[in-house]
Amino acid sequence: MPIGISSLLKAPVVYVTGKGGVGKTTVAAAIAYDASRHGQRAALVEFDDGEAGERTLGADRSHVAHVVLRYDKSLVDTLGSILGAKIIARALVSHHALRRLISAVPALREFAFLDRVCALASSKRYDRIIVDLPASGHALDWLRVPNAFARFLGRSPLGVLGRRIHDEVVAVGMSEIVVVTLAEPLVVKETEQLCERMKNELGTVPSVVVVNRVMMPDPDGAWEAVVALAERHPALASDAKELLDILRARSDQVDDTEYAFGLARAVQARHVIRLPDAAADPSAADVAQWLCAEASS
Amino acid sequence: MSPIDMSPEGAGPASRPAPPPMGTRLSVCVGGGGVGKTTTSAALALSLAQRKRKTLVITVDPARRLADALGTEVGRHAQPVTLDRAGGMLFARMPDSRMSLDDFVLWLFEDPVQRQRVMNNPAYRELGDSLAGVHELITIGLLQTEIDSGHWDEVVLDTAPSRHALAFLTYPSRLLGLLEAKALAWLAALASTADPSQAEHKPKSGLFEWGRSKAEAIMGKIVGLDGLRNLSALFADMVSVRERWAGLARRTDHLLRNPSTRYLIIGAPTGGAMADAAFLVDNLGRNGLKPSAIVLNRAESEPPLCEQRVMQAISDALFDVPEQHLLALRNTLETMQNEHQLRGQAATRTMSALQDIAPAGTRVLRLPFIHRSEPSAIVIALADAWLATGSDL
Repeated sequence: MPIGISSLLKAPVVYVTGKGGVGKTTVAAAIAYDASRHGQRAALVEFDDGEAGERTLGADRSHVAHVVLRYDKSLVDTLGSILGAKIIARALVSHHALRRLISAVPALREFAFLDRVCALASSKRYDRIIVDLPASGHALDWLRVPNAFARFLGRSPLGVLGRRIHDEVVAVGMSEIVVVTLAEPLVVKETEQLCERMKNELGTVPSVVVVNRVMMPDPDGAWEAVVALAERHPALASDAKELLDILRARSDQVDDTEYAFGLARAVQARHVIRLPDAAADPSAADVAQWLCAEASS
Repeated sequence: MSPIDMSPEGAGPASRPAPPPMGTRLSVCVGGGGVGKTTTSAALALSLAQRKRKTLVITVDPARRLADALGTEVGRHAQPVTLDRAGGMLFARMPDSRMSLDDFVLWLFEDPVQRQRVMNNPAYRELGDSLAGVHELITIGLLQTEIDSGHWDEVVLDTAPSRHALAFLTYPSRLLGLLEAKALAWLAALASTADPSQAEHKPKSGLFEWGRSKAEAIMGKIVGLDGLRNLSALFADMVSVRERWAGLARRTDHLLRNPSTRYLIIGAPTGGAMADAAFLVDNLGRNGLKPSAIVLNRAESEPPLCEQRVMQAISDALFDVPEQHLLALRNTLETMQNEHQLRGQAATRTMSALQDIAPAGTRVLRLPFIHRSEPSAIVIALADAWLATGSDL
């Protein structure tokens, strides 16, 4: 039996982040899928818009609870838990003047969402909650919000709640972070900066760095064959040269992968996992399988 | 006078009459992450410069992607791009997002005492960075300065890689609405009168009689009195410079709705990019705007001919090399053909899906997959592709 990717992650709440377009949601869905395949009750959490998770989970959706948190509802739930009654909260947010006022409180949106993640975690309905966070820089801002509220609002109910959210679903040990990156130097550099900030601002490092869309090296000898062709058949020399450019670009990409891998190791993540490049969109089930194969090797 | 040079002229009530049409054309490139938006925007800018249009490309991508793509240094100020092809007509600029929030406050508040008070406010210190829309505002301010400068024939803006990047379209007017709302004036007044004993111990009765004291009591209950006082003070300061906000909102609205401003949605042949493109078309539509073009980037069409010719040479037994080299070459070419096929299918599928979602009058363009690795070579090849797509681009 393959060792699942979820066995590399110990904490009940897992945040998945990375630069936009690197395959964050696919990896998040794959981790949730894998956890559920190994008998855990798993939830994939997305904010406001569940389109990406829906598309990636596809037909396998039934194994994983797909929780899409909407801001309006999250805010009512959060305020309701402070005020002791949802009806007051609902009246508060639907009051014409107060509604605008509330919308102006900085970072309340992030706060309400993380409060709902906290509520999901304490409901004990799931063994594993995989949260698809926004891209890189924003993800850190998100995770800093509960603590910022705690500092700024002190012993007020919102401040106390901020402390609780931080302790229960953000603090080291309660949650883990998975960072998805690509085997491209620029993307990896950004990942390196993200991990640096993570260490300085949250005091943690990612548990797993997933290097996505890794190119496999071409077999040795192709280059020599094309060079020989150009020498022997001048009529094909320009085609041969063009093909050599393409082969060089491919091998550069493989070199980039090695470089990216080195950087990913240097951020001191517990595990660095690579996923192959699949010229077409893979499903969560495909990715879960690759993750397992890589995790056990 | 401020480090981001957001010229204050026209920010006040005097700017009421609509300014004449701009001499500078703005192209806003939007798209989800990972579609090659920065590279594509740089290529568009280069193709405009090659047409002898004096062009500035602005990226908000914090990574050094633009610098890398243009093979040049890109900083906080507009700098010339040294690519030969640009012929001295292309410039690039990248705002520093970390510094800009304080810069913005410097611009917004002319009174040094008030400015200092805002910067010392705990609500600003702890949460200012997370204030939704702040980075959009900064981009808008910068954009406005460059357009007002009259230096440019073309400005190409590479927005944040997110389907929500268009939020900046409505941000200034939303903020203005907020600042003019009664609640803020009320909260601002509260700042000077906040009294702990009063707000904490108001009796709770008549749930639906939303009197002012009731609302105060509830807000006080949620954020606490210190929090309420800090937030109120911050809002009071923001309300006091309402005219400056209003000026910014009006000018931005004019800029973004100017008929010469065009929106380009950049996509790629993946399910995610496709969904983002559809979202962006909708979003523009809700703002009464329409993309000039939807651009499918990395659309593989015909595989390079050289691959087929070399494959043919293998069949024709033109090679005189060790068997294992030949085998390696054959395997590599087969792998490449397989990739071309998958990419080609994805491109065809995406292209027809994009044509389905394109509003009438919006062109759907495809830019090829560039089989190169150096970012500047990709930009140059893509600029040629832009030039080949048609005269108005």
